[in-house]
Parts: sequence; C-alpha cells; structure tokens
Amino acid sequence: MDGQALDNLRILEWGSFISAPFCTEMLAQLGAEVIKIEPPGGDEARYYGPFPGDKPDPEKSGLFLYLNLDKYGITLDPLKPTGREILFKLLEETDIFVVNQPQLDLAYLGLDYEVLKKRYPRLIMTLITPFGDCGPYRDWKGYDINSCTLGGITSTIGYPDRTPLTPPLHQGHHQAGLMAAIAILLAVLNRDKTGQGAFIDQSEADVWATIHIGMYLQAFVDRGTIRKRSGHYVPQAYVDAVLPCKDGSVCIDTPQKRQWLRFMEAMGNPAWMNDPIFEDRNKTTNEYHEEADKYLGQWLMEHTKEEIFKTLQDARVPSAPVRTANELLDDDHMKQREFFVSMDHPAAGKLNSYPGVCYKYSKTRSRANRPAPLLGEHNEAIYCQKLGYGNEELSRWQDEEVI
Amino acid sequence: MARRGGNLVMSNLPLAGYRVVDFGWVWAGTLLGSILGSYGAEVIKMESRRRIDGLRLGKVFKLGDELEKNPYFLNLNRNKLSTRINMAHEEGARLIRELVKKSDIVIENFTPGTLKKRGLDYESLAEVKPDIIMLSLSPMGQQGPLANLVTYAPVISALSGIDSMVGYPGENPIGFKHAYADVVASMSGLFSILAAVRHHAQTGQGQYIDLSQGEAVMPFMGEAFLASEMNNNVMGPQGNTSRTMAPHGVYPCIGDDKWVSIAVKTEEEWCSFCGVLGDPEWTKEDKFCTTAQRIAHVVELDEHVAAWTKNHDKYEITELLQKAGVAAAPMLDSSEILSDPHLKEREVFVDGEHPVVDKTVLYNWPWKMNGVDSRMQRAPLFGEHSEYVFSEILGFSQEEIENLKEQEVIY
Repeated sequence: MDGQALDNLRILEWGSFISAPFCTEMLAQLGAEVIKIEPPGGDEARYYGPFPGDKPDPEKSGLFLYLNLDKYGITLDPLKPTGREILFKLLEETDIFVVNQPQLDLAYLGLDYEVLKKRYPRLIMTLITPFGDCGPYRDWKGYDINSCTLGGITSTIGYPDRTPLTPPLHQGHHQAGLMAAIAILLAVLNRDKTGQGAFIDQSEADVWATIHIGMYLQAFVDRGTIRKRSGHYVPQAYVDAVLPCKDGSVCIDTPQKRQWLRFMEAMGNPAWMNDPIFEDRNKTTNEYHEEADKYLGQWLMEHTKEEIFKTLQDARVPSAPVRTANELLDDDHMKQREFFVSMDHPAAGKLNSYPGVCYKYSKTRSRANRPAPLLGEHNEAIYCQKLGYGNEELSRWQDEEVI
Repeated sequence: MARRGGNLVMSNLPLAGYRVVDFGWVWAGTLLGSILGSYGAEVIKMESRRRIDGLRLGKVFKLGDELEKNPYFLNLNRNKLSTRINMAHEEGARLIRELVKKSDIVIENFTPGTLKKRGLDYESLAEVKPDIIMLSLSPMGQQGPLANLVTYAPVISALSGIDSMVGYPGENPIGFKHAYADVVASMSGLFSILAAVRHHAQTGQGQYIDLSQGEAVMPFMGEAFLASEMNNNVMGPQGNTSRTMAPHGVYPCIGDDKWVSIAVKTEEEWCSFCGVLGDPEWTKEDKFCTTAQRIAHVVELDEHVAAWTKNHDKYEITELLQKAGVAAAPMLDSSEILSDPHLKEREVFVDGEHPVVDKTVLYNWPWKMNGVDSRMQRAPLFGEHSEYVFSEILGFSQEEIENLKEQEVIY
C-alpha cells in the first residue's frame, strides 16, 4: 500500500530553536520517527513565541509547536555523565543523529563523529552550525544575522545609501535545516547501497555563500559585476519593483517591452507614458526611477492591491500583491490546495495555520499527524518501553536533573 | 570507470543508475538537476533551437548572447548532458516518451498544461513508464484559482508573503531582490524527489509531485502565520530588529560600503560587549541596562554602536568581539566571498575549466559531506550529447540520426 518515504528511519535530534528542529520536522512529515532531546528546561523555541494573547507559556509557543510536529519529546542532559550514557544507548537505536549545539565542545564530551563512528559505523551524523565545523571561523559565535552577513545575502537587501538588511524571521536557520535534510537523504540513499554512515557538516553561512550569492561569483570573475542592493527595485528594464498602492504594496515585473505596453494599456495609456524618460527603460531604472515611480503612483495609489492584481493579470502583466500572512490564511487558492494544516494540542488547543509542505505527492503521505510534544511527554514511552529502563531509574534521573 | 557521452560514470555515487529527463529551465527548474547529477544520476537536459533556455540566451539577466557563456547557466547546469530534441514536433514528443521509458525521473517547470498538449504530462508518461517519478514546479501549483498566473520570481516572492516582512520598520516593504523563491523551491523540489526515490526503492511505486514555488517559501515563515492566527498580529517589515536581542544589527565600518553584524543576547554578552568598547558612559544609562530596555531604545542604541564601529575595520571589530565571546561577522558582497579565508578554506566555490569560457568559478554545494562521494562536471554545450542520446540510448543508426536532423526532430 501507499506508505511514507522514510518509514523505518529513526532520527535522534539534539537540537534547539530552529535549524535542527526544522530539518528533522521535514523528515518527520515523510514518516521518519523523530525523538527529540530537550534539556530539562526545554528547547529555546518554547520561550520565543508567538504566544496566544502574548502570554509566555513554554507549552504554547507558536514557533516550537510548528517546528516539532510529529516528534517524540524526551528530556535529557547529555552534559551529565549519566545523561551521556543514556544518549549512547539511544544512539544504538538511531539511524540519523542531528545536532545544533554550536556552543558545546562535542569532542570534549566524546560525542564527535570520529568517536561515534567507531561505535556506530552506520550512523549518519549531522552537525548544523553558523559557520561550519572546519575553517578559521569554526569557533566563532554566531546568530542568524551573523551568518547572513558572512554569506553575502545581507549585501543584496536594502537601499544603497542605507543600512543593509538581514532576511526576516531567521531565514538562515530554516535554509540550513532544509539543506541538512537534503544532505541526509543523499546519505540515506548512499547507506542503503553501501551500509556506510556519513558525517554532514552544515554551515548556515555556506548556504548563502553558495546556492544564493554564489550564483554571482562567475559574473564577477568573468565581467567584474558585483551584485549590490538596490532598494525596492531591481536594476533591469523598468519596471521591476515593489511599489505602494492604495491599501498595501504590489510587485510588478515587466522585462519585456510588450509586457510594459500591456501594462500601460491596462492603465488606459496615460499621457505620461510618452515622457522621454521611458525611451530606454534600462536608463529609466538607473536614472529616472523616482520620477517614473511617481507617474506609476498616480494610478497605483488610486487602486487596491486586489484591483491591481485582477487588472494586471487580465492584461497578462507579471504582477501580484505583496501578501501578508493573514491574507494568505484567508486566500481561496491556499484553501483549495489545503496548504495549511490544523492540529489540536493539549495545551495550546486547536490551531489552523501550521504551514504544510509545498510538494503534493500522489503517493507518499506528507502531512503531520500529531502535535508537538509537551516537555518530557514521552520520557516513559522512550526510556521504559523502548530502552527497557525501570520507573525507579526514571525518578532517580529526575532527582539528579538528568532528565 | 566508464565514459558515457563524454560524461564520467561513477558507480559508487548514491544516485548512480538513475536517469533524469530534465525539461527544467532558467533557475528554479535547473538547480536541482545539477545536484542530482553531482550525486550520480544521468541528467539529460532537453534542448532545442525552438526552445533555448532563457539563461543561455542571457535574456533573463542581460548578460550577453553567447549560448555557452552565461555565468548563471554555467552554475545551474553542471553535471548534466544536453540533447537537442524538438518536443513541438510529433516525432520529437514520441521519442521523448521512448526516452522516459528508459528513465526514472522527470523534471519540468513549464506553465501548467503545456506538457499535456504534447502528450508528455504525467498521465501519458506513466502509461509508458508506470513507475516514473515526475516533479512539476510551477508558480502556485498545478491547480487552484492562481494556477495560471503570469509571474516571474520576484512576483512569486511577493505572493508568498515573505516580501511583506523585508524592509525598514514602519516603511513600505521593499522585498527580497534576489530570486529567493526560485532557489528555495528548487531545493524543496530536490528534497521531494530524493524522498520519492526512497519511496520507490522501498515499494516499487513511482508518483507525481506537484510543487508550488509560492508555497515553498511559506514553511520558512511559520512564526508569521501563527502570530496572525493567535493574536491577529500582522508582521510588517522587520528591518534588522530582534525580539530577543539588542544590539542586533548591521553597522557601518571604515571603507566604502563596509559593514559588520553584531548580535548581543545574554547579559554576559552585553557586559563583554561594553568591555570591548571600553565601558563608555552611555552603556551605564538605565535605558540600556536590560535587553527589554535596549530594544525599547533601539534607534538610540544603534546610533551609539555605529559611532564606535565606523572608526574600525569590519574584520578588526569581528575579531575584537569574537575574542570577548560576542557574536559578530563582517558583511561580504559577491566579490568578497572569493577572498575570505574561511570561505576559501571551506571550498564554498570551485575553479573549473570550460571549452568556451577562460576560467570558471562556480559555487560548491551548501553542505560538506564525509562518506558520500560526488562529482563536479562542467555545464554541457548546446546539444553536446545528442549523439549519445540518440545512438546509445535510443539505438538509432547514423543515417537515421541524419534523417531526424533533417526533419527537425533533432533541432
């Protein structure tokens, strides 16, 4: 029968906040069994929010609830020797070990891959860090904003004469989570074939410096072109920009002359279109975009983004509103595609705005089934039923703050 | 090691033995195939003079008209073979079905409905190859009211919601000015194919994957959706602000457009930060004594920080702060990535050779793996492997191939 692609893969996540949890979340939704280790105080994301009514509660943090669907949650402190012993026992039942603990010295704890490989030759270990596990900046401290600047993405966002901007909502953490998930699947397919484990060194800065900004390296070597930031427009044939309208903003992109002419026609061929500043639209962007924006603004500011969306799409002009999150939750298209997932959680209640996945499989099941775990919810199920420890040990570990 | 159409076949790679019919073009449709090829799949790019990849023509990024030289094309089409085959010709479409019969994966990013007209949609292909895995990437998915939208990557980025949060706080959004949705969609597509390959290995089943590029960005902004549902809180342009850190920003340094990022989270980090600055008076003011206070007075705080950073070099500041246990990093642009010692040592880019381009410097994969082999081969010339595809895979004689060229099937 139809199944899930990653049935029979067991993942142990020793992760915190976003990158490692997002990585294992992607794998959990396709059927992998994920056991998540939290320190006795809980994952950092439990304290981040958003919280219903803005009242902080570690069981109701939106970020945590979303990033940990379908996982089994246990508490464990691997920094304590007993905790480490339990971790080793868990690793015996693990195919993939995902870690993002950049502040810890794994070698000192006896948890680096070179050591683990000897004990678990089939293990696939993944380490997600801001700057990577080798190189001169290996031990630098870094948050999302720091790996964004080193990786180059920040240099491309914002106005040329103002502060460069970091992508919003920890895109670097999420990106690294997706990349690590891809690398893990490659390692799994490799292991299915060879029986050998692997080590994945996932740096957040590398993601920006390669598939994103790395795209522009050859253009620099070849022709000296540097990708710079240019505010709300792209320095190509006018117009490729985000512009304000009556009730928000719209994005319009007309690289082809016929698209530009259709755009003019949709606005009723205003007289200003014959202004000489539009003769060469590359020049328009580079020299006259402020004046040009003002002309467009005459029409844009009189119309709502939905009116503009309809008028321009009917005229086959590439354009769309700049949607906000609440608009997407209410959008007919998104509803018809059943993108958002509803989930009932014992503490946070029912929420209907968990993002789903962008790939609709005809066979593989790819939807979350269970809400995020409460703190330590599966301690007994994992420690006693799965690993065979007794209840007395459990309460002793609790007293010793191992779990 | 065998040689196939000029391409090294390495059987030790995880995807060795898989063949991919790749209709992908421009960016979102092409990136994933280059990585499948790197890990051993035989990826065959479908090309014809009727339909030349916009990047080969340089139209998309206005970088000249040489078919083989576009820097973006050279990145995105590595590890692929290229065959000329005209799908607009009935015989061309039939031969593509023959090729699919001998393949495992199909990738396409046409406007929804295009392949159906040629009898090359999933239903038609599954008739000749029941266990084919096929991925369709489109702006908003194959079905739904927005399925036939006229878009480019920036438009998708706007529709996905992410652009509404890119900009300076309190101002109009400016949006990502980089094809973010293309890259994220392509990598999500790669993930979905690899999982489908494993599904196939376990069950023998192929399947169809309908990927929406707009939706690909949404899982990266879960916080915004939940904030909206929980508290009706609509998140606007975020700037460089943080809810949990201050200072948290990008600050000017000595030099033209040189910047450094600094982020301070804990009390301990704040004390170290102040120490590096020499504990100036302003750091002792009440309004800067807790994270919450510093966030409340973030504009003034940033002015103080910038007054210090602007007299120093970005690498120098980074070193001073890192030594004190404070997170900082220089801002690099697309030329500086090439000279940064860390990125160099991590080999985030690779030098290569190419018959038409003097020297290539292309990005490497975003992960480093120990225990899984891969390969890196240059992008193919237009139609470079037509001979291999028609003679070795499809079994045509030289004479038949000449005929197909005359009929503009090989075009």
